[in-house]
Amino acid sequence: MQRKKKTDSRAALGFLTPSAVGMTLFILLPTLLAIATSFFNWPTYGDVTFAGLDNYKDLFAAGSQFPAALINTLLFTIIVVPLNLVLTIATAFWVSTSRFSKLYRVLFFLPVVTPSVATAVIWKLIYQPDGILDSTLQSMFGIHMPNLLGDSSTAMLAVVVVILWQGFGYNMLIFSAAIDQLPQDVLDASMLDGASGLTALLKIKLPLLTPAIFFASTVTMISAFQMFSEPFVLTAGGPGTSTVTVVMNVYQTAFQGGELGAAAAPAIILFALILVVTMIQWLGQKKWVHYDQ
Amino acid sequence: MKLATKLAAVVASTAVMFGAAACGSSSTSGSSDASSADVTLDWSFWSQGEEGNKTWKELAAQVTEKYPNIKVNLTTAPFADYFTKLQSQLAGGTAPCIVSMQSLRLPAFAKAMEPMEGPLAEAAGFKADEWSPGALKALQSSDKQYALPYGLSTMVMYYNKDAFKAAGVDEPKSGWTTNEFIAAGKKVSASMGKPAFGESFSDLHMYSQLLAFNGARPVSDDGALQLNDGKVTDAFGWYSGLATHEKISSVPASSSDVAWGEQQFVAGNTAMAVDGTWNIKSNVTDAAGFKVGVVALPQGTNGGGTFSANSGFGISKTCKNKEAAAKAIGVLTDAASQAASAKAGNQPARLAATDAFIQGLKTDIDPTNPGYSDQVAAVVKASSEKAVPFISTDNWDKVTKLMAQQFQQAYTDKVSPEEALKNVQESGAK
Repeated sequence: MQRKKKTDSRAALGFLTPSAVGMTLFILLPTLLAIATSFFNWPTYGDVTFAGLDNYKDLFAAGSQFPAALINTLLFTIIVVPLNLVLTIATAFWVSTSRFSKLYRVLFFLPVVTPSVATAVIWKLIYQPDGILDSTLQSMFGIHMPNLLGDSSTAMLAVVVVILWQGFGYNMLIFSAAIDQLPQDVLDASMLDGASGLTALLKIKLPLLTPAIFFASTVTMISAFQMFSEPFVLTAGGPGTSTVTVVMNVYQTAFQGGELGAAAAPAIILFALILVVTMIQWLGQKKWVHYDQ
Repeated sequence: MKLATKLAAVVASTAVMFGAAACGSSSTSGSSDASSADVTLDWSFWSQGEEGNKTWKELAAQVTEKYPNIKVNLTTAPFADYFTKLQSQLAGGTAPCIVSMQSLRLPAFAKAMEPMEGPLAEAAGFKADEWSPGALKALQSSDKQYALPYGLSTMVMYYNKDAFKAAGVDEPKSGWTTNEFIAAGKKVSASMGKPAFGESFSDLHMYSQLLAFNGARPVSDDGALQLNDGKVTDAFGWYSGLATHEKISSVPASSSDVAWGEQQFVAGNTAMAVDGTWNIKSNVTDAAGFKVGVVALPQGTNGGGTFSANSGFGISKTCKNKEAAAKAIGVLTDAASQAASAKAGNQPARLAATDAFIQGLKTDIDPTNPGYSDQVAAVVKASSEKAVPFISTDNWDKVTKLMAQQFQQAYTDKVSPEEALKNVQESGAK
């Protein structure tokens, strides 16, 4: 018995080591380095000096884009995550009843596998004056489409539409797989008990889907916090600071401003924010996620 | 125990692999110094278009012809990404040996470059009196020459000859005024049914017009951002007004449309755009089925002139074989190379290559776009006499990004021009 336990733990060590080494080298170490970097004045080239908390203080100094970036990122997340979930769950239910469900799944998944920079460029052509939307409206109704990306009050919504379109297929696929896996005996039993239509959906099917909803909401939220390529290509953060995100702020500070230490500070704040929110989600899941069938 | 040994071996070999990869990346900048040993030098450049890239590849081959042991390996990136890429290459220690540098970006990158002095200047065969003095000066920082120029560019106005004709407006002539520009813009706009001019928030394109309007300078002589300067405020108010008040200008669709003015012009959507002489050839060959004319910028009563910018090749500090790099740069910027690049449409920095530049346009462009080479000769002469090298700050990439975000709002009347300038000044001044 003792011997068996020993070989088991050795085998476990063998299986764990590759991922533990990878995790340490590629995730833990860079994270620690980034945290260290954020306390230094670290130009792309030139002397590195200790800066203490200056990089963090500068984030909230006059002229800094970080506060706007943080608010935009939070807004993006608050708008994108619920919209994405409602849309994808609804579509997944619709697709699961369709005769062409396989075809629809492929079609809806296509944007996910298309490079986001390429789709953003196409969407830009759709949005811009004399673009596809504008010229269609003009020829059909004789009116001009407002320049959505050039107006600070509509730019964020225009970007949100692109992000929803782009990320839609992934969650839809997760939900439609989960719907296919719904236990038939539970559904049959509920029907015998007289639950149908909306009641069955709200009281039986959605609770059964909560593990999938939990997974999808966590992943979607993390990616919404890290939003970068769509707003970067579509608006470069403008007009004004209406679509600057935290990751864009990090990128621009590091690779256009050449200040690696100052760029690490907002990255660390975003990291902490995602960590806290994800932890809250994990702790909160006990209240609403049903793993028992 | 056996398993533990195996594990240790796996970990050790992984570490060796990473070590090897690190060595591999650090040696890309060129092998160690030996004057006769074979050397491969990396050279990065922003893309020059199909014809331009071909010309530069041929010139890279010329280096090997003169120095058989030196091979130059050219890689290109779009201009918009070039300096960001260079920045990250410098951070990662993988910068190319030969760096292409634009005068506006030099203040930010000078620290990462080796000045072309002493033995390096000698290896490159550099003689200052063969060059246009302005072209050399623009690539100096703290009085040291950091790059040898291949070209000199001034900002000029391109116009659609067909659109002017259709509107019954006389073609603009050198010395035209900003009032004449607005009057012509209104007539052509009316005839086209859409704005005749395309605005920009790109540094050279926009500030050249402000300079011509009233002599406004966005950056002081000592390199400080001064967008709160009275002249800049006045001129920017006038420029924003071309869209909001005079209604003769289309506005970039979003803050990421940095090249809006010239792209709309080439596509035939507008009839006038400010652009550099670096596109003097491609703006004609790319034009969507119309004839192109070129003229000096319209001048305001207290203004005048235009900005010039130029580009050249220098050596990165991390280059392991600086002397070979200097030799290569000597070939890439010698008289024959400049004549070849001038023929491809680059306004040359060497005085002797100007004829080849005009002659190239005469044979390649005049047959389909009559009279162009004469116009170019006149414009280049007029603009060069009045051209002022554009001085930038050492965080210029950041400032240009801020301009794109903020000026978009001034052109669409969402914020006042003063407010937009104030926002850029506040975030951009260090």
